[in-house]
Amino acid sequence: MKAQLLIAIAENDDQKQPEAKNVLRESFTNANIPAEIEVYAGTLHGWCPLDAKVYNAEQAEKAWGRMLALFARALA
Amino acid sequence: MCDNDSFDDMLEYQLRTGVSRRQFGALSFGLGLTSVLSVVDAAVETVGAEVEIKTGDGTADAYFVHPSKGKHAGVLIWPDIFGLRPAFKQMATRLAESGYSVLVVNQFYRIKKAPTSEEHADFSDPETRKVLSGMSATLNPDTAMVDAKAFIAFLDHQPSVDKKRKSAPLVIVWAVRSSCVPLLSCQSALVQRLPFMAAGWSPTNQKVLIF
Repeated sequence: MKAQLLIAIAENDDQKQPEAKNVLRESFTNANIPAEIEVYAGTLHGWCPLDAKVYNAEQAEKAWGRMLALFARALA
Repeated sequence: MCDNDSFDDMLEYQLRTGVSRRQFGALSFGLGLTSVLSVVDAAVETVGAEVEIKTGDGTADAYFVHPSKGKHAGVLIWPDIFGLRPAFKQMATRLAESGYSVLVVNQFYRIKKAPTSEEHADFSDPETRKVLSGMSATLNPDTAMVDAKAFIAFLDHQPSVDKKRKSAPLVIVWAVRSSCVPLLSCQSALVQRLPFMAAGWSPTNQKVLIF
């Protein structure tokens, strides 16, 4: 596998499964796969789509920026 | 937005902020995309069109948008449970303006053409919730493989898509239930073309699956 990953986790999803991010980090580290894994403070499940009830403009913009950074890096 | 726990959190959030999805929609679409999306992208001129893609199970409707000139990395967007709708077309267009050829699909094409949910669909309405959850439940690893092959093949045949190795299609995953299935089902033959679909999170046994 040659993927690079961006995993943006909502704060309330993280609260339900706080160990998940650690399992993800460990798994991708062991597999030598670059993965940016972050819990986005103050966000609720589904905060990125523009018309979402829980849309969080500031954090959605951050995630979008990280996505563009990943694409620029991975597809250079 | 895919499960009951998340829904309860949404209610809390709404009460806290006093912002409804409808209000936000009116705000964002009224003011236009650029005023809402503050990250400054180097916007290029784009061309977008509704398209139909033959799959092993039927014909999928989708929206394909790409820069007017040149060849670019292909991006495949699998929307959340509310499906293909204006917000996702806007997001696809924004990504295209950054120099990608973007296909955003109606993942529920087996049931009906987009839009597959009402405008400003409210997940707090029991009937809406039941319908959307039922649609989501029709997707599984088998349907995901059928669809992924067809969508990637579509991208591969577009003059605006660069098929070189470092421009292989990407997948953006927005929501778990309706879109994680392709992550869990990729076979090795496809992985070389789908670097971003080659790993997944299994919610049931909480393991990372790497193919």
